[in-house]
Amino acid sequence: MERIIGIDLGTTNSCVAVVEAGAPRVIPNKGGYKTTPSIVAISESGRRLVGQMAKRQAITNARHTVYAAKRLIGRKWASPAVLHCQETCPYEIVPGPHDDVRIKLRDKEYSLPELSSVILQEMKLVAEEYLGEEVQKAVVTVPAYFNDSQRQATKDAGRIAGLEIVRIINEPTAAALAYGAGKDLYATVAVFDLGGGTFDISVLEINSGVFDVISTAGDTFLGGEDFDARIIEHLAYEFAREHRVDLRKDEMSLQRLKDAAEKAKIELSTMKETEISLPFIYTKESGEALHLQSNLTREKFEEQVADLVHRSVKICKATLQEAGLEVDDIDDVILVGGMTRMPMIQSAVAEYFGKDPSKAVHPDEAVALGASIQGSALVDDEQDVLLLDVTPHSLGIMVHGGGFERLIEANTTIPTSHSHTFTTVRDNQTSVKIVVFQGESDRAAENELLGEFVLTGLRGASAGAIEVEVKFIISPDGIVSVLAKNLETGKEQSITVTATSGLTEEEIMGMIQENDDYLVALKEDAEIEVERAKLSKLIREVERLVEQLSGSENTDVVDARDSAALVVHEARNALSSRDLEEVIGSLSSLESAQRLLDSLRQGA
Amino acid sequence: MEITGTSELDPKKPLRMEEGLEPGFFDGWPERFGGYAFDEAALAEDVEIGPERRRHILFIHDQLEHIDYYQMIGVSHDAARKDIRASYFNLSKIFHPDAFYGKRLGSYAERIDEIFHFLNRAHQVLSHKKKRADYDSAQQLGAASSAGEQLGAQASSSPQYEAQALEADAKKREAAFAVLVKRAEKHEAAGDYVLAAEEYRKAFAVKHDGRVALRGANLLMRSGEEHLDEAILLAKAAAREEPESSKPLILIGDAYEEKGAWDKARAYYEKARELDPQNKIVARRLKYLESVAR
Repeated sequence: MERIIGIDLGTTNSCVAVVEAGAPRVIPNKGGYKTTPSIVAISESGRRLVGQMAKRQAITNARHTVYAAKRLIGRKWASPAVLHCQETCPYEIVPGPHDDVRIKLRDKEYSLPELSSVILQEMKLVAEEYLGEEVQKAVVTVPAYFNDSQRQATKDAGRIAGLEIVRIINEPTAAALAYGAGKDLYATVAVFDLGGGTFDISVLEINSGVFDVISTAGDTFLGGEDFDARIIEHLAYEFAREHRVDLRKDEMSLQRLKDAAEKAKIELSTMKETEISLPFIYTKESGEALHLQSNLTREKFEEQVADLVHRSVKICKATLQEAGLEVDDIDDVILVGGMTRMPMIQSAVAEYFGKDPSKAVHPDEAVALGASIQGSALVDDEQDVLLLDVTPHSLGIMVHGGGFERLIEANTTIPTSHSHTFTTVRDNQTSVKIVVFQGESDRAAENELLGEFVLTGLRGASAGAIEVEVKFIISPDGIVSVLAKNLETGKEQSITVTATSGLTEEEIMGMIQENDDYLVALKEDAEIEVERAKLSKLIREVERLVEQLSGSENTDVVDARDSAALVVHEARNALSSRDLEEVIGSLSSLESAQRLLDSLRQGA
Repeated sequence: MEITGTSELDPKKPLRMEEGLEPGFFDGWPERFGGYAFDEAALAEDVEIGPERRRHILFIHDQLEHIDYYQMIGVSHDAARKDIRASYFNLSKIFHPDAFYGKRLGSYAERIDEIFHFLNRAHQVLSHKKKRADYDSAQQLGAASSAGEQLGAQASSSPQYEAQALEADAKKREAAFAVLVKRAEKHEAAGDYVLAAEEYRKAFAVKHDGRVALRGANLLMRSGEEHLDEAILLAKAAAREEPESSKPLILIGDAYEEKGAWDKARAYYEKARELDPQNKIVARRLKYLESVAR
C-alpha cells in the first residue's frame, strides 16, 4: 500500500505524522522536536536554512529570514494582509507579476509557494529519515477559512517541493479526525483552533466514522502573532517613552523584541508574571548602549488582548447560529493550536460553551495526526473514516451592476458543483465574460476575485440564441474549477482564464527545476565536503610522513619529499577551490605520494 | 471493493446488503432497476469497480434527471431528519469520490462525481427545515403547473398530482398557494396580465379557490381575443367551485358574447339571472342580445 503522510503546515510551526500499523504518530525531527519552526532563511552564502536552523540565525539575519509566510500565501498585492506585513515584517515584500506577492531575500525574489515548498520539503525529509524510504504523497492542512487562491498556492508549494499533495483538508477538521477516528462515536463537536496566524471554528457531527462538517468560519488574521504584537507594541512604547527610540525601526531590535514577546506570552500561560530582559537592545549614535528591562503580569497581558479573545468568541457565536445549533447541542469542545494554552482563552471558551474543553487531543499535534489519518483512509479500506467537509465561502459571479450572485453557498458540503446557463445579450456576440468571486458580500467587488473566464468562439447569432452551460466545481480540496459546454453544439467550450493571483504553469515548472537544481547542488556540496575532509586528513598524513623522513639524505627520499611537497601544495589549492574534480584528482596523487613515502619509510 | 460475481440481477431478488444499498432502494424510481438496459460498453470497461457497483452507478447516473431528492436519499416524503442524515451518511460511504481513491475509474469517475454532487444537494436541502419545505412546495408547484395545463378538462386528474396532493399537508399547500398568488399579483401590478393569469391558474391548481380562477379569467378577458377560450375555461372552473356566484357566469357570458357566440352567451347570462335576479348588468346584456337577435 502506498504511504501518504500528513503535514500540518502551520504559520509558526509545522508538524508531520504518519499512520503506522493503524495508529497515527507524530514524527520528530533530527533535533528530537515534534514540531519544526515554519521559518525559511537565505544565508549570506546563498544557502537555504529551514526550521530551527533558520530560527537560530533570525536575529542576525532578520532581513533575509521569512517567518509566517502562511499569512501571505495566496494573497494579492495591496491586500490588507500584505500591507500589514509590510509594516511589521523585517523582510522586504515586493509586488509579483500577477498582482501577487514576492519576498526579496539576498538578490532573489521568492514567491510564497516557493518559500512554503522549502518547509514542506523539510517535513518530507523528516518523514523520509524516520521511515527510511522515499515519500511522495501527503495530505496537507490549511486553515478552514482559506479561500481558493490560498489553497491553490499551497498545492503549488507541494508541486515545487516534489511532493504530491493528494488532498488539502481543513485544520479543525483534521483535529476532529484525531479526536474521533477509530472510535464508535456519535457526537456533535466544536473545534476551536487558534494557531500562530489564523483562527478557525468548525462544528462537526461525528457519526461513527463519518465526519460531517456542519458549519465553519474563521479569521485568517487572528492568531498568536497578533498576541505577540500586543506585547511588542507595549514594550516598544515603554522603551520609546523612556529613551525616545522606536525599537521597531531597527531590524535586529525588532527581531529580539519578537522573540522576547513570544517567550513572555508562553511563560504567562503558566506564570502570573514574567521578566523581560533584553540587554544591549539598542546602541545610540553616541555609543551609549541601551537595555530593555520590563515586567509583564498575566493580568496586564490579558487586558491588552481582551479584544482578540472577544473576537474569537464572537465568531463562535455566529458559526453556531449559522449551523442552527444552540450551545447545549455541542457535546464536546476541542482546543487546537498553541494559543489555546492561554488560560484566558480556555476560560473564555469554557464560559461560552458552558463546559470545560476536552483534553483528549494535543493542541500542537492533533492537526498533523488528523492529516495522516485522512491520508491513510484514502488508501486503506480498513480505515472506516469518511470526511464530509464544507466550503467556507460562497462562490458566485458578478452580475449586472456589480452585484454578486451566489451559485454555491458557504458551508455547502464538498465536492460539489453547480451549473449555470449563460445567454448572449447582444446580437452577434461571440464571447461571454464571467467573473468569479468568493465571499459573503452582496457587492462582487468586496469579495475575493478568483478569476475571469472568457467563453470564446461562440457562433454569431441574435441575442439570446446562444446558451452556454457553465459548471462550477469545488473539488474535495476546496479548489474551484470551471467547465463550459455550448448547449447548441453540445461541445465543451473553450475558456480563457485571466487575472488570477496564482503562479502560471510555466513559472511553477521553472520553480520545480530551480528547486531540483538547488537540491542537486546541495547534494554535490555534501559530496565535496566528504571528499575535502578525506583530502585534508590525507594532507596531514603525508606531511607527517615527510616529517618522519626529514633526516634522510638518500636521493630517492629527497626526490620523494620534493614531489610530495608539490602534491601537498596542489592539494591545498584543490581544498580551497571546492571543485569536486580537483579534489578527487588531488586525492589520488596524494595517495600515490603517501604509498611511496610509506615504502621508503619502511625501507629506511 | 468487490470484484467477484457477474450474475444478472434478478429484479425480484433484493439487492445484497454488502453492496451497500438497502433492499428496495430503487422502489418507486421512474425506471425499474431490474429491467434496465445497461450500456454494455460501459459495463465492460476496464475499471477497478465491482460489477454490482458498476450497475448501481450507471443506473443512478442515468436516472439523475428523473428522480427527486427523496429518491436519491432513499427515504419517503415524511422521513424524519435523522433518518435522512443516516441514509445520506451510508450513501456517502458508497458514492463519495474518496471511496474510489487511487482506483482506475475510466468514464465512471465523472459519473461518480455527478452522483455524489446530486446526493449532496439532496441532503443539503432535505436536512434543512426551510429548504426542505421550499423544495416540497416547489415540487407541488411543478406538478401543479403541469396539471394546470390541463385545467378545464380536469385540473387534478393527474395521478401523480393526486398522490402528491394527498401527501402534502394543508400548510404546505397554503404556502405554495400564497407564493403563486403573490407572483400573480406582482405580474398584475406590472400590467403583465397573461403572466398573472398563468400564476392564478397554477394557484387554482394547488388549491381550488374560485376567486383566483375568476381573477385569472378576468385578466385574460382583458388580454385580447386569443385569450378568450382560456378565460372561459378558467371562469368555468371558478363557476364549479362557487356554484352560488353569478360572477363567473357573467364573465363566461361576456366572453362568448365577445366571440360572437350569442346563443351560448345568452344561456350563461340566463343562468346568472337565476342566481342573481336583481343584477342590472345581466339584465342589460340579455336585453341587448335579444335586440341583436331580432
